[in-house]
Amino acid sequence: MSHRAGFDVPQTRRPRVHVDAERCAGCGECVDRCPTAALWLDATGVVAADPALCVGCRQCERTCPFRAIRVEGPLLVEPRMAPAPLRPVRLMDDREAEEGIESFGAAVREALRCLHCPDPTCVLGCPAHNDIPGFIAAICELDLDHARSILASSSVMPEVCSRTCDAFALCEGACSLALAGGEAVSIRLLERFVTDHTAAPPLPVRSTRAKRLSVAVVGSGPAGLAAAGELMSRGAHVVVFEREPRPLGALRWAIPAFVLPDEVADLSLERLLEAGLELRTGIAVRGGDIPALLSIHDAVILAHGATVPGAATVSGANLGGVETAERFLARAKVALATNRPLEDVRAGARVLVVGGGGTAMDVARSVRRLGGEAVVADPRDERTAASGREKLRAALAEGVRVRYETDVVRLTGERGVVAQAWLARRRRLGVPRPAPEAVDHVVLVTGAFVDPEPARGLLATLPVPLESLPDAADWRWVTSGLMAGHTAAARGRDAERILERAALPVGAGVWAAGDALAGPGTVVAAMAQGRRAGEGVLAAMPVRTDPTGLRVLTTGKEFVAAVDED
Amino acid sequence: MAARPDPRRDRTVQRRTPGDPSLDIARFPAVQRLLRSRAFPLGLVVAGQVVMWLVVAAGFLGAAVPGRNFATVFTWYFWFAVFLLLTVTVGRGWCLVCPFGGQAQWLQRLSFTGRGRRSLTLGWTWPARWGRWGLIVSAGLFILVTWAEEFFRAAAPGDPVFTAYFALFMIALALATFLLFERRTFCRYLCPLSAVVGVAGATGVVAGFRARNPDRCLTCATKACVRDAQDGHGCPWYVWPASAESNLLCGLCAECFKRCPYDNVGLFVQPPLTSVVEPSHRRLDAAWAVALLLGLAVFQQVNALSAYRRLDAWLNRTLHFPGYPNPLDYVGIICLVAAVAGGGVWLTMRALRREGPPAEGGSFAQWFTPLMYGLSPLMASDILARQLPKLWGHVLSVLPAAANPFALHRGLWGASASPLWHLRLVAPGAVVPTQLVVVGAGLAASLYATARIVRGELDGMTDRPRLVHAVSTAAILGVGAAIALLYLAMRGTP
Repeated sequence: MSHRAGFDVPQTRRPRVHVDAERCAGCGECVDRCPTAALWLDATGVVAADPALCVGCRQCERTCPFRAIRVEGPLLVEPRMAPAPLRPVRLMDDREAEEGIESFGAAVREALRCLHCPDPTCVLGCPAHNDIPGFIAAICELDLDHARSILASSSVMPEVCSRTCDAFALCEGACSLALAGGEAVSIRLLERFVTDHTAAPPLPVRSTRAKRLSVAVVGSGPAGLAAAGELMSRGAHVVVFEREPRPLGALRWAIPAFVLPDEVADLSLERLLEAGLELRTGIAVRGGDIPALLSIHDAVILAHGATVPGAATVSGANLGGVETAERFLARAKVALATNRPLEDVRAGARVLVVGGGGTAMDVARSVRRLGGEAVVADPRDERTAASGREKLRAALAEGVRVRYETDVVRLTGERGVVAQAWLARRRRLGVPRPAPEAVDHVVLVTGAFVDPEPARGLLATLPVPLESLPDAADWRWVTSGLMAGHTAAARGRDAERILERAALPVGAGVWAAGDALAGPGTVVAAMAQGRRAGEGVLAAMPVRTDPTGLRVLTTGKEFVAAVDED
Repeated sequence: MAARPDPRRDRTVQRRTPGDPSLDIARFPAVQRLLRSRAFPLGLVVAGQVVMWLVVAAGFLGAAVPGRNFATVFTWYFWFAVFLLLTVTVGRGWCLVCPFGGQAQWLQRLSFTGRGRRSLTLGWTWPARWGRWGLIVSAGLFILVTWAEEFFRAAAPGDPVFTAYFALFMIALALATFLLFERRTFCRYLCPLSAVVGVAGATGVVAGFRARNPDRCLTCATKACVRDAQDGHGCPWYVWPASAESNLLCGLCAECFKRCPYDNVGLFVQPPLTSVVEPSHRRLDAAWAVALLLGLAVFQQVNALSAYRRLDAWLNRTLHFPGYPNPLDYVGIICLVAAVAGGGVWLTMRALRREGPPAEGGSFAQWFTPLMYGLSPLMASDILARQLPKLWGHVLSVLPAAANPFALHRGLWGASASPLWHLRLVAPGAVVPTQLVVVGAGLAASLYATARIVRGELDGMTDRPRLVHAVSTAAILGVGAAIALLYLAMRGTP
């Protein structure tokens, strides 16, 4: 399917392609990547362009190794659809705030913006390497079920990712349209539209080669469930151990319901349970338990998330009315779900959120729903802030105020309860001068760390430092033109390195994925690593002929048991 | 409207490559090992670096007598002749060892072996409209540098410090270009020597690095041979081995050979004159570079005649110019020769091309370009022959000069008193015959090449091919005869 926008645009307003015939070597990289077949090699072996077909996506320019081709002029693509509407924020209202694409027609119109690039950079930008052009093409063909099945082949929880991903920095950041200076296709919202309007297919069973395998997974978050899904799709038996009484890890307690409703988060787990996943909650696996697990199971995958809150270093953090973001989010979620306001954060309360990123925005938006006034003190500047474009937009729309380049120097209180926060704006020159502001409550976004206990005694140090990992020398990152200093490229390359590591064991018979492998990260990255760890387990298992004559993956534990029974 | 075939599915490499495996010397294991080693061509460039800086140092600190100074002796009695000899036999053999580009590339890449993670350059791209005329720019710079060499008598021989300045000029120009522009922009578009090497080197027997199977390159997902990546650099000369069809631009650095993931790149040799006769994609700027360089070669013969000396002196008096050569007669003679070449082709084209639309009879560029390619062996031989008097008369003095570069009292092994200072390689009476032999070889090569070119490319644009053959043959014979007569008149003047 080719793009048709700009078909009737007069020549003077079309993009212009300039080929430096002297430097063009005729390698055809641009020809291979042009989504509209506007380029070809002429009789002299030099690239020629048909201006009537060019839409100005500039993939040719990005991929040319000799910079022999240049595109000038507009990007001929329909404007991106308006951002998804946000439900007005109301007191004690925890319903999902973002409403998604309003109609099938709107979804198809947005899907038709996709150029269906022969070398899709969006796939590289997505840590899970979802077949984005594939599912978008299915939407264009009005086949949502097919789109859903395409998503299911690489993602065990598309309904979660489509609500939690910072797509602007991932798939959408790597979209050819965005790289050309335009607005990316609304990949995230299209993914959500598909998941909202289709029933999840059952877990695909690709083979039964692993039917003799049993794998223990520690943690029921996105990494653990993705690993379980990958293993179960090959026939393996998977037991997931979850420390908390309720599964899903950070998806449950760290993400507010107005961002990711519980019933949505439960969908992926329900699919796996229907497929035979064995879930044991309330069991904390310690490092000393690993050998015992390995005596029963063929492999162990550590997928426990980052649950240990970081240390609060600001002076006055021990005052009353000061708490960590993890604790606040858990309390706020319960309060909003049960419609019971918090004692210490009521209507009109002035709440200072210290720190940046998506968690700070979630905290601030929770405060708004509890009736408070939320101010975020983010030490980064606006350009490098880590909150994500969509989350920031929603937070600002809901009345959250964000102060960039602002440090909290100290907190002071009265009668042991925080009353003032001393804020200082970072200055290029000179010493910052802190000024006091009255606050009623302070929430510290201190980050979270991985509990080292389950990994105690392993050969590899966990989390694995990113700088110790070799660069993922995948040529697609170079040939696609994504290596242009774009944020999506940098994040994608880092994600690729961790992904490669996830496939390798961290100890004898032990793999790791998600936060447990590389420290706190995103849901989609954890999911991708979990799937890769599952692939790594399968690749490492020896192949033997079972008593029925089938070639299966097994370490022989079950054979021993079978012989004993005989 | 019929649908155009999808260009992504239906593609072949249009340009030809040698393809004959027997011509691929990289199939020999020893050659393979050498080419894969990061010591190649690093070792060669380092050796060149040592000599270059010795030339600079000797130019400033060495003997005041130019005939005894290593800078003058090495550069003008030895290096330039060897450089030309290497060019006409190998092709871009000089570029492989060039210390100017080699040193600047180390700085650009922040690495000696080409695998640095960072680079020190703004990475600008040479503008397309200048790139199209790159060889003319290079030839123009060569002409300018030669004028400066003549004016300051650096090779006359004059003050050795001017040789040092020449080297420093090249170093500075190379460094500046490498730090501003990407890859080997300097070597391809600016270097004063590039045009000479490129057009004269077309006679050479080294074809360069080419794809063994070009179709394999079409499906290559990496194009590692041309792409910069964190594990190495792509071709710095902007050459894709699968489409290279002449040795005009391959700098023989072996980057593509080292990086090809499919072992699909070979180092091919070719019969002499292949890159003159066979390319289907010829460059107009190369053609004009041949004409201009021929004009320069002719100037360097004419300037030995008394008639020229009188003309130059009169111009200098009239225009109050300080000395030889007056830019007006210098540029005038060069451009006159080029204009005669261009004019002669134009007249031939007008008289003999097929009547009808220009597509039938061809344009001026379609006549001029291949014919100038055919003239390039004669041009190259003329430039080489011009260096022979210095070479035969003084090349042996390189040895004692190298042994005593800073003119110390005795120097190594008594160099200051060495009889080699005065020993000639060829007797004075034999210089002109050697020049005539070289020019004769160039003439024969040009006659052969032009005959092949006319038959292959111009026959289809004329209704009188035999007359075109006759005119082109007569023109080349005429040029060759003029060059030979000038050498006879010069009587071996250096």
